[in-house]
Amino acid sequence: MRDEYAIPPLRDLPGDRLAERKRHLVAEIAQPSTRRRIPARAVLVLVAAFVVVVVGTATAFGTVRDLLSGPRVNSKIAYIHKTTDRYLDGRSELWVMNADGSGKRMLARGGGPGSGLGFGDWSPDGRRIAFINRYSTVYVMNADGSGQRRLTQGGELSGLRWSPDGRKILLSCLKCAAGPRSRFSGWGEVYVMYADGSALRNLTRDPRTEWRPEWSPDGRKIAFGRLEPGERSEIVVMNADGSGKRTLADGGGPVWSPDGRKIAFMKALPGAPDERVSRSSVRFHEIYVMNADGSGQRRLTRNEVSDDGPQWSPDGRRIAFLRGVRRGGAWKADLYVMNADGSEQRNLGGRPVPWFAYAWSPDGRLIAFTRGRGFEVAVMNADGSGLRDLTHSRTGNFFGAWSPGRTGG
Amino acid sequence: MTSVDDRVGNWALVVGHERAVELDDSVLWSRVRTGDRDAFGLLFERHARTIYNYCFRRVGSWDAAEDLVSIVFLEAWRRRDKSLPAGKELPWLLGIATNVVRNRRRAERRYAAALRRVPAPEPEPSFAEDSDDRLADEAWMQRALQLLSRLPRREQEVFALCAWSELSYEDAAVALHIPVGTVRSRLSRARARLRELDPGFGHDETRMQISEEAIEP
Repeated sequence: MRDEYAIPPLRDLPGDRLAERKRHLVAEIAQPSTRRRIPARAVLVLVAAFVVVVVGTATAFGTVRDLLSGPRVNSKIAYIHKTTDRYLDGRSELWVMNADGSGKRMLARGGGPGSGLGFGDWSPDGRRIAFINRYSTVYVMNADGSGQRRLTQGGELSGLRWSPDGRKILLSCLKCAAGPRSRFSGWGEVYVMYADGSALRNLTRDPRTEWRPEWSPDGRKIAFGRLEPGERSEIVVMNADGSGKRTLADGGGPVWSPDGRKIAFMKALPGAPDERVSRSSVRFHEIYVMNADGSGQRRLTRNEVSDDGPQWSPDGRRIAFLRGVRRGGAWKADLYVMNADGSEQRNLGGRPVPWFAYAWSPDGRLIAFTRGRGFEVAVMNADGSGLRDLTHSRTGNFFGAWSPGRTGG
Repeated sequence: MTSVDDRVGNWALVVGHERAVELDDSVLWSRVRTGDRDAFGLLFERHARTIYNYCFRRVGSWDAAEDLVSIVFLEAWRRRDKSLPAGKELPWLLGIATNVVRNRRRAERRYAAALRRVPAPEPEPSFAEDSDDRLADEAWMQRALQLLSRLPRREQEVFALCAWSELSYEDAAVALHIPVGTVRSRLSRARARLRELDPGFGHDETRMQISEEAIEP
C-alpha cells in the first residue's frame, strides 16, 4: 500500500506528554462520573486568513476603560470565533461569554467567506455593541444580539470606538477611498458619527495616515497616531470636533490613563544592525508615558527587544505591555506588568499572540488575551497566576473586549 | 512504515509487584470492563501512539491530535461496558477516534472541562528537537487532507483507516461498524475518485520517493 498518497511518518507524543496524558487520564476516570452532558450545540460556520489580520487590526485598539459609577452588570468577554481553521473558507462570528468561559453565545455572524468581521466596541453602558462586517460596514445591535442595524458602509475600516458619553462613534478608516459613491475619502482618516449612524464626518482630512484614535476619558479630546512619510510617526491630540490639532510627541498607539491626565505610547527606536534579520538596523519599540499636554515625557522600558501595546490598569497605577522577542524567525511574546512609573517590571508569561488585542478586566483582576498557535481566548489573574484558556475550538478565537462592569464569576 | 506490532500491539510488558507479566489487549479489556483503571492506563500506554498518529492524519495538527487522544480514551472509558471480540480492541478504539474526529467540536465541548485539567506542556514546546519536522508534517498533511476532503466522508474514513493507517479490511469493518464488503467497495471508490481528482495520485515518482524516505525509521 506504499504507493498510496504519501503522508508524514509516525511520531511519538512530544517529550513526556505520553506520561502526562496518562496521568491526566487516570485522574479523570477516577472521578465519580466521567459522563458529561453535551452543552447546547453552538451553530458554527467558517472564515478566512486575512480575516485574522483585519480582526486583529480592528481589535488592536486599546480597551482600557474607566470604571463608571452606578449599577453594574457582570463583565463579559466579546470575541471573534472562526469556525474552521482552514484558511480562505467560511465565516467568522461574534460571540460573548462570561469571564470564566461559561455562557458562550453567538451574537452575530459575518457576511460570508472572508467576511472581515471585526469586533468593534461596547457602548459605555454595556447595552449595545457596534461591530464591523465585511471590513467596511458598521452594525450596531443590543448586547443580546437582537436589533441588528446597519449604520454606515464604505471604506476599509480598521476599528471603532464608542465615545464615553455613548452618543458618538469614532471610526478609523484605513483605506477610505472606496469608490465614487462612498461617503469616505482619503487614506488613513479618523471619522466620527452619531451612534445612530447620522452626521458622518472626517475629522482629519489629511494626506498623511491617521490611525488608532482614542477618546480621552472625558470624551473631550481624541488622541491618535499620525504616520509621516518615511515611517516617522507622531502622536496628535485634537478636540472632539477635530479642531485644535497639536503634535505632542514622536510615537504611536497612544492610550489615555483612566484619569485622563497621562498618555502612554510607544516609540520605535533604531537598534543595532542585525544581519540575521535584515541589513538595515532593526527598529524596536519602547514604552513611554507623558502628561496629556505632551510635557514630562519619560521612557519606561529600556532594552533592545520590542515593548509594545501599553494598557493602563483600571486604577491607573500599573501598565501592562507585551514584550516580544524574535527567536528563530518567530515572535515570542510575554505579558508584562509594571508600575506606572516603569518600576517593578514583571513577566506574567502567557505567550499572547502579539498582534491581537488584550485588556484588563474592568475591575482590574484579570487580563484577557489571545494566545497559542490555535488562537484561543485566555485569561490570567493580574499577578500572572491562574492562566487558563476560555475557548477550546482550535479553529481560532480572538479576544475583542470586556464589557463595561464587574468581572463575572 | 508502521509494523504489524506497532499497529496491533497485542503484547506489552507489565511490571507488576514482583514479576513481569504479559497481558494481551483482551485480558486488559476484560479488566477495564470491571472498572480496573490501571488496566485502562496500560491500554492507553500501548495504543496512545497509534491513536495519536491516526488523529493527526485526520486533522493535520499534532496539538489537536494530542487532545483528541485524551478524548478518545475518555470516550472509551465511558463505553467500557462494551463487550469486544478478542483482538479487536485497537480497531474499536480507532472506530471511537473516527467518531470523535467526525463530531470533533461536539466531543471537544463534551470534554472541555477535562481538557482544561490537562497539565500544560513545556513552556516552549516549539523548541523541541523535532519541532521543525512537526511543522513540516502539518503542512504536508494539510495538503493531503485537502485532497481527501473532496471525497464523501464515508470514503475519507475508510481511506484514512485502510490506506493511511494500514488497517486490514476486517479491522476497518469493526472500526466503522460496516460489513467487510462495504469497506472494500468504499475503498476502491475512494481510490478511483482520488486518481480522478489528482492524476498523479499513486503514480507520482517524486511523491513515492518522499514517502519511502519518510517512512524509514
